[in-house]
Amino acid sequence: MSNPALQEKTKPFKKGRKGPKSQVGMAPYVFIAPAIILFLLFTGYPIVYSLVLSFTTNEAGVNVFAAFENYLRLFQDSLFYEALFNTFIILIVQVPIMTMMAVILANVLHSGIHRFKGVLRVAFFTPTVTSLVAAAIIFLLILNQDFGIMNYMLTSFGIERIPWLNDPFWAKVSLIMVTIWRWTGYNMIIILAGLQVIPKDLYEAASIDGAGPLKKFFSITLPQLKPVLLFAVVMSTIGTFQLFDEAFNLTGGGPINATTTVTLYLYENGFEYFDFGYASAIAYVVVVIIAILSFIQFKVAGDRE
Amino acid sequence: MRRIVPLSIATCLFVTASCSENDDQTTNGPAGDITVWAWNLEADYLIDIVPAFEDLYPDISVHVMKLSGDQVYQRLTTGLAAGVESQLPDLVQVENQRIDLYMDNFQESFVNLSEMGFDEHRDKFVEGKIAPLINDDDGIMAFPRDTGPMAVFYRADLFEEAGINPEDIVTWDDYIQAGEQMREETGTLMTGIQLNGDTQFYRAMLQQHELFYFDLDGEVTASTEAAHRSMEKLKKMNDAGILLHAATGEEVNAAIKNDAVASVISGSWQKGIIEDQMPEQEGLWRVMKLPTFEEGGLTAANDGGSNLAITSVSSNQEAAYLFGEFASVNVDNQVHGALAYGAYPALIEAIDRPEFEEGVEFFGGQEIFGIFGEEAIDLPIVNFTDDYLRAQNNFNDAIGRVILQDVPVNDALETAANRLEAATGRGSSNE
Repeated sequence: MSNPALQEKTKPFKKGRKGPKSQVGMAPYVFIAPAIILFLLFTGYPIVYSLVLSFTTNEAGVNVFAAFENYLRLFQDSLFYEALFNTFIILIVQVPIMTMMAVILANVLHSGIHRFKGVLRVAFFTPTVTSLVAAAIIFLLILNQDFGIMNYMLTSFGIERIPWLNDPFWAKVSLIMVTIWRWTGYNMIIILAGLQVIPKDLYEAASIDGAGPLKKFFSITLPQLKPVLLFAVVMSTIGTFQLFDEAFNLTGGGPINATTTVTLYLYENGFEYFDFGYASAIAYVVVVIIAILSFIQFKVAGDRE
Repeated sequence: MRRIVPLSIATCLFVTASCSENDDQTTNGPAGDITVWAWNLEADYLIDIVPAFEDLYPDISVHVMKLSGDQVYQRLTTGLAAGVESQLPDLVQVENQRIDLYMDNFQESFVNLSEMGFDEHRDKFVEGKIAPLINDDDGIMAFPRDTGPMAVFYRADLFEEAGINPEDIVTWDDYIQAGEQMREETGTLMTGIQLNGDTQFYRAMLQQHELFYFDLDGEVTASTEAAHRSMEKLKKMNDAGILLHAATGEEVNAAIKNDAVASVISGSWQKGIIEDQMPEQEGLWRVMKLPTFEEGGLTAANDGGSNLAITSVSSNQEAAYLFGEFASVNVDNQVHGALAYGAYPALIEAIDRPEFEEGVEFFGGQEIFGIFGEEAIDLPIVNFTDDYLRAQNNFNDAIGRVILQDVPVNDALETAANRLEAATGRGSSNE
């Protein structure tokens, strides 16, 4: 606060606050009002309306109240369980791999490479902002069983062709690969930000105590990163439950529903079959699942804080 | 004030006089702008016929918006849900398989064409096309456009190389046998199957039993004899190793272009795709009728074909009606649509036109339209219902289980039947 320029700037503001309180008190609300109004209109209202919808069913073009019929049907729907199972498999396989890769990449970029840092950050982040429709077309070409470059490379190494998109197992693998490709860079940037706020003196102290780079990583970097990692994992979990574009554009949920995610199943029911009530019920069950998972994650990771 | 009254009377007289004068001029049709949403080849067809239409009705101007099929349906769905005229076209392309879906879920959203006089044209169309467009009250809900009579498109050069005489292929078993010969002699597979998409020729097989995913009463057919026989045949094809496993229709097209398959079982519109995307294969293609289950069985089946529906919110329904009528009932237009885009007409008078008896250069001079024509007349009447898409997904899952996971046909169809019945509340057909 020794900077006179700063002091001068803050003074009138403080004076102002002593004046008529209501004027200044209202100002923030006026400024955020457009955002709030838009949120209520385009997010708040649909959330409430879809809850109402989930208790209705369409009979001859008219929505009629159906109590818990949609929810009861949902719990007996084997396709819904398949979609839920697929989503969990993707969650369990993809999120750990992606987070690990993001941590490694972030560390490499943070310390190791100095020359092409900027270029590499952009390169890894680009998939996140790439249109998935465009990306999916490229992946369809890459993964084509007979004419794709992936199988071309495999066969030139003497490995047999893999039916990437035509086999239930490999279709899941393909979907997981694309999801990792897309979201690793995003998580890397978050973790990179987390790395940059770890105090340097911790590492200096560790160096003096004779700790090697691995020891430093496991004893300083990881524990310091915990809140950031928790954030990344919770966001990825929520993201996985909302996984839609990738499956919709790449595999269309097939073959044999192997890549039908919960959100894709919701979309099919709502916008293909026009079963809006049922789709809304799926949405609300997904909300509950996400809430439970996030709660567990916070409990597990948050305890040691 | 006193002056105003006579003045306004004078104005009124003047206006009504001029109005009636105008009326005399435009009694031959309404005026205004209409918007049409359509996709791909159908949009091109409609764009082609607009100038002739505007010559007939100079006061109407037609704007055809060419979108993708998905876009049309997505925008139509949201537009209908909103029910606002500015968000909807006057006329929209809807396929036969989606008509019930829209008509049942958005009742009152489309104009009943019978009330506007379309009944006079009812008998002009093949029955297999127009029957699904008729609602419960016997009203026609959309202008019938093209049909997709199914056939086998095959490569004459590859057949010759393998020593297969296409005339020997009568039944599906013959087709499978020819496929084995093809694989042994040339290493080429007989046809492609879309495992992530839609297996059209399973639907053709059901239609050859005069059935569909649903019977005419709307009951699920997954547990019928026909469904089992068709699925067994599909399994036999796969076990014989003559099917190329593709993910989507695009992959099948890639296989066609790369000489990896010797035939395609598809609707007549496949003609346009092959000519468009594989110009280097000119002269190599021929067409034959679908194989049957036993000799003398039904060869006809339908895949696709669209219609034009008028939305109720349209403020210019009469102009939309005139254009829809022009696009569906005018014989010359139908012939143009078929020759230029392979959109085979459903209008009987057009099917009989001599233009269709001419050979097609691309197909080695073969008179392929004659084959489509014979199929079009015989098309079985099928019930698409408003659960068509759900049924399609469920049946395709069953096919995937049988082909990829060796699940017994019985189990796969039983799962499909159970899921469909649970989701739709429909009964099961035991034909």
